[in-house]
Amino acid sequence: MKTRSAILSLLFAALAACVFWITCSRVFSSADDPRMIRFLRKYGQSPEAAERLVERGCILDCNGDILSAPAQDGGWKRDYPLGEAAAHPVGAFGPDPTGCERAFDETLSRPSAIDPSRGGSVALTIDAPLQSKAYSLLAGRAGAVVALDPRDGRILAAASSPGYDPANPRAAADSSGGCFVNRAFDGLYPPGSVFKIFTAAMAVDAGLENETLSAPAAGWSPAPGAPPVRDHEALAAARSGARWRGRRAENMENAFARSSNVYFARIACLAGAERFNATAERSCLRNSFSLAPGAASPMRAAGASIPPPENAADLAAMAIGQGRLQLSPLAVALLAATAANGGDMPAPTIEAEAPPRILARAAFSPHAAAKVKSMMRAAVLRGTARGCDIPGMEVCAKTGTAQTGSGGDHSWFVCFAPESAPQIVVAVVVEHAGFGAEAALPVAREMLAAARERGFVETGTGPAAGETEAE
Amino acid sequence: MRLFALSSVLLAAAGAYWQLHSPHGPAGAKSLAAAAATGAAGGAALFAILRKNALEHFPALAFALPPAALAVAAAVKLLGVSYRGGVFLGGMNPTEIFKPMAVLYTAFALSRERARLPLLCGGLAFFAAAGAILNDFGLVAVIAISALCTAFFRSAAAGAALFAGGAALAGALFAFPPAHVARRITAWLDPFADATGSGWQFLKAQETMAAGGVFGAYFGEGGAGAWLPVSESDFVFAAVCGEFGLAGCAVLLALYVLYAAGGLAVAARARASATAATAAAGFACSVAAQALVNTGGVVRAMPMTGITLPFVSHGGSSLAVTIAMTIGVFAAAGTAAEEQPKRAKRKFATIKPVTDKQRT
Repeated sequence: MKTRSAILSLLFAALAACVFWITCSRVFSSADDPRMIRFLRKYGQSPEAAERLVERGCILDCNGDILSAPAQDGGWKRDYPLGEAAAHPVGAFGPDPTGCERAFDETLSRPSAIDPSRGGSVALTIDAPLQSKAYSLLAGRAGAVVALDPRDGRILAAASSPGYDPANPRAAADSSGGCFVNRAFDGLYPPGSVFKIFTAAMAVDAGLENETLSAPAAGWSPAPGAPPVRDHEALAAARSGARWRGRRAENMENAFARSSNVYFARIACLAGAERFNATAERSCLRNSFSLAPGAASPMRAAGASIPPPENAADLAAMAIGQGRLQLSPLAVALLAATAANGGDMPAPTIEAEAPPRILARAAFSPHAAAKVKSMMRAAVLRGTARGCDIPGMEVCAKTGTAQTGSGGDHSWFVCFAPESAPQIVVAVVVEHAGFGAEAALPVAREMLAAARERGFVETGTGPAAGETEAE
Repeated sequence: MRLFALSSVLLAAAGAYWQLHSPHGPAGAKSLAAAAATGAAGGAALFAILRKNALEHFPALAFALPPAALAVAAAVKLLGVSYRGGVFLGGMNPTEIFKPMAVLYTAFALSRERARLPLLCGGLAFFAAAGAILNDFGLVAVIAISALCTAFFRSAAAGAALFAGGAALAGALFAFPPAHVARRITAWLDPFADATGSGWQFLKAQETMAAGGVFGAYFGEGGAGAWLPVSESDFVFAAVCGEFGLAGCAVLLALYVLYAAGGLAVAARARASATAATAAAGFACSVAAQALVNTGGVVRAMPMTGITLPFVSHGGSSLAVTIAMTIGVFAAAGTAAEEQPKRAKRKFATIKPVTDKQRT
């Protein structure tokens, strides 16, 4: 019995030794097991465990300034110098990272070739001052601002408001208002009149460039029995009790400049649903965009929802940016960029090292693009976008006032500059803020001025050139 | 005996320290004292049962143990409240008491003249059924291992036979696991497959252990408690490793080994009664087996079973039963040749005259 009890004791000792040995391997192999490292990077909470691992890399803006870096006090926390202004594109790091923190997680957390004790860094196309400016211009109103270079699709700013503190996303977790939604990339809104850029280009490509149409004060019904499409002048006159006579035999440029609903509904019906559909298909707006092709987990942005028109009334509603149509601010910026870029739609990108790509070659014909461009210039010179003219910048623009199912109209504005060689596109939406020219336009104008100040727009000729160089 | 006394006192002290200073909300001196008092009372009962050879004198008492366990399990299943995979009745986990019951029955069955193994296996089947009803396979494992060790303690052949049977059953459980067991096996084999779900506790435990290193990271502050799930009960071993490092783990594991070795030595030297000696071995093996099953689960050497770490985990019922079983080991001790069988007999005779009849 004594022998057997000794054997049992030894057995327990051996088993305990096994448990201890495995405990040791858990302690010492955690830093070598890639799956454990990945787990700790994502969900780790102990600074001691963090110290044994590779430090996560930085996210930089296009100037090499820090957008996201490891916090000074170590551990898993991150510092975000721009705070909530860049929370959406940069993202927040935590158990479930978002934005670029998520898309570039592999690069950021894997040891870099230069310094194996640190993760790789990622440079974005975002310009930190422009991003901050965009967010501050929204001034707490719900909405979004997108600024991009129409030549290569580089996104210079993508602000979404309301924001949240990326260093402490949980603090905002219970606040309503959808602060975690990236409205700039994923917010789908009825675009309203800014979509007339698309309709105009389609009509030009359909050979309807010189069509002159009348816009009766009582509106125009696309089909018998369908509710009439009316111009905003008619609606304003009805509200104020004044009289509006309507327009007779108006050409496309004038109709675009004053943003006539009747003209563009009529011309879309002349062009037909098939052509509308074909242009939508060719523009690639229906697909979602990959903003970071080099990232391990691709960062995608919702494009637009442009369903095939079912009948004339449907087509007429979509032609003026209403009905079942929904676009993200990024998609609206891309529409303008296509017009600015001679009809080629650049692939939007947020990754600085991504080579420039064309998303849709000849989405519009070069001729249609040039025509739309001149019409957008006319809208600034003598149309609804008058307030946006900046001397020396040759701004081209389009306003939009999108009716919503509930609440006030969304205020839209999209513009690019300069007309001769467009270098920046700005799209702005302010939710439930009324006319495009009222809320969104001033934001876009400030953004254009800030972009010029930052050197993203070089006006080769004109009175402003000297000033820019002096700065 | 000295070894066992020393190791159990040290374990109790370490456990009391941990429970009173644990970051996860201290157990509270009051509840600790209550558990200790309950344990002492239970221990006294076990002590009396074994010293007076009550089971041998009243075999019906012993035969009633397995069905009683099954009945309690059924009652708990019907009336109890499920919480974290265990079933509780009135804040207590009543399955804890199955452990000393099973040890008593095992000791009784192994001390019979005839049909030892069939009796033992038949009774254990009741306990296994009781554990299975409550989904408490950790309890079943502890009872089985303890019975296996006890059988080996009595005779190598019995141990071998039981081992074969137990291994076959364990194999069958692994091959055709019920859903509840299958989840635990999956989480054990690959915690990363569901890192934020079934694997979360394991990976958090590993993070804590890695943070603790060799000498511990949170000495005296228990920083791991804030984010280590169930750090006060099932995963307390990882929390100990975080606070005291591998050094603390080594000491703790060594104490359990000394506890088992000491208890077995007490049992081997006992000359009181075969039942008491066997029960003492069973108690020691039960506590040590539970410690190994718990720590093995935490470090992913085996599937997690959801049983506590004796002495250290929070939980009044667990602590009380552990204390009771520790006292039970002493029942086999100190009754050497010159002990007072007459006095014991006389004392016993005054209370239970039936003894004399049987003895004569």
